[in-house]
Amino acid sequence: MDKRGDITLENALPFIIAVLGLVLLMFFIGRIFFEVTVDGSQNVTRTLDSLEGKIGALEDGEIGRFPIQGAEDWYLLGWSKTEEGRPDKCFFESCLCICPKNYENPSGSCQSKGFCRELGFEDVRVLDFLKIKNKEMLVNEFEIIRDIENPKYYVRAFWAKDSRYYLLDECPLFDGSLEEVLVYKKDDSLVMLKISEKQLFGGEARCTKNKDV
Amino acid sequence: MKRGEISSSYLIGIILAVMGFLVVLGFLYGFDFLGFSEEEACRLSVLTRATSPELAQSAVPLKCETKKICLTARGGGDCSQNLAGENPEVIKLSGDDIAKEIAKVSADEMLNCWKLMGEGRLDLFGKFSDKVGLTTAQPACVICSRIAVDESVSKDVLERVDINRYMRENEVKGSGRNYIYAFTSGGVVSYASRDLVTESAFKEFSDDGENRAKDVDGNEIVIRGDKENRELAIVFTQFIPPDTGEVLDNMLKFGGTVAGATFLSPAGGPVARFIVANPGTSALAAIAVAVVGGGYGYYNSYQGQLAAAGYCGKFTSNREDAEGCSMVQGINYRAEDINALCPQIQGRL
Repeated sequence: MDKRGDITLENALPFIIAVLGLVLLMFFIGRIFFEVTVDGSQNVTRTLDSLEGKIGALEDGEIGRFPIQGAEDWYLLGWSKTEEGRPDKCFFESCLCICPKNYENPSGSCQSKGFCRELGFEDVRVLDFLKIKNKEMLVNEFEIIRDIENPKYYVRAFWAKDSRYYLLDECPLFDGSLEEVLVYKKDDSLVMLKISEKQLFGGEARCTKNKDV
Repeated sequence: MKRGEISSSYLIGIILAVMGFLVVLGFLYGFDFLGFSEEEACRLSVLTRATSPELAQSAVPLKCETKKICLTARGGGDCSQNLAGENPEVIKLSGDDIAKEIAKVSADEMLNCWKLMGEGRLDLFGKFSDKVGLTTAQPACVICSRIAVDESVSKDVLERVDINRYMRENEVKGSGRNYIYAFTSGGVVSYASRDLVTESAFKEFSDDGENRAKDVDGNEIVIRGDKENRELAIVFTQFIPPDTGEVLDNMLKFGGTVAGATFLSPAGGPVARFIVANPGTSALAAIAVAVVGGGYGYYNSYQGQLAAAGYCGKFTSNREDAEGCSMVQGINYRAEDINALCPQIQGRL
């Protein structure tokens, strides 16, 4: 049957070897490419590992101040154990999450694309604290973190360039630079303040992390 | 042979080809491309970025991860106050002179960072300066390492750590020459003498006090991370001043050590706290290492005056006019201090 063009055993073997060689080459290139590109999820999980470790290392009643770098335009959010609207990823525990920015639905963003860690606390509050330069004596973040439920801190606002900026905001947003968080652990509660120089989406609207609740 | 029959030689050939494929695939799959060490991956990415065509440069990320090192006394902890959750390399200090050991680790990390970044001669952020909106002389940085000292090392020991002196008096392992020689590519082996007249003319703005927070009743609040600084960041920066020659001239004018295109900032005294580069004026050009709030803690009692090593001149780059300054230094690992120097941080913290 050896007609011209027929595939025979004589020329099939080199063909098979060539195909296998191409597969290996593509695999090799793929591995190299994977290794040299930045894996964003690794950075996020690394940030969560760092926070989790530092929270664990704090003594009860102690305040810790830590530099931290998060991915630009990602939220740092926290939910208490029985808080409604928390992502399903948190299961039945309180949790800390880092999630892509989604002003319409921060909680949904965490569920679909975010990274979360369960914490062993009953109450978890994670807030953005707007630090106003030259007003440090009026507004003391160390005082606030130990008295976080005091309503007076939630109505305090500042006007700047025709926009109203709130002292505390529910959706801390990373700006990609090295930032600071203040962490306070007391009994079964955890409070975390991310210190900001400005609210990146200031103005009249405030971020609410549980939009659908 | 009958039609359709496979001869034994072909059969063996196919089997060998498939087996060889599986062996090579298994090798490639199991090969740890990055434990061809993270340092090698960083070095490769630095070289790739610097030598990439201008248009491609911004697409090459720096795969440089900040190294975390914990220095602890025998029987001590693992620097949980600074590095909890970050899996640091723990180095147990066991010699007779712990302060010297700390200085050695710090000096080695500084030199290692300098070498890793191409001794300041590679153009790492050139095209990025447009992309990220950096203005002239605004630096971009890589934090090469963070060195934390565990609480088991006493404050008294920390206060005796003198990295500047260590770099002058000790040889780089295997080189037969001191660190100053290594940083200046053989230009000099010692720092320039301190000039008290120069120092007195230079305004001191830092605050030596510790940053102590108080509550509304005036009672001091104990805050971990503020009471005493036990963490040094080794930071590589690169910036583009209007005139690189002017930076070197100013460095010399204010007591720094200059050898060709390399320099060491003043080692000791108030001038040591400033690195000088300012856009647009013919006078001082300055990027100040801001000492914000608490000043330097115990680890930095000498490090507040730690010399920075640098280079100003032409960069290796695909851009024709690539020129600027690079620098490596150790500063407090605090957001305020780092951000004062680095509007842009690259690599992975």
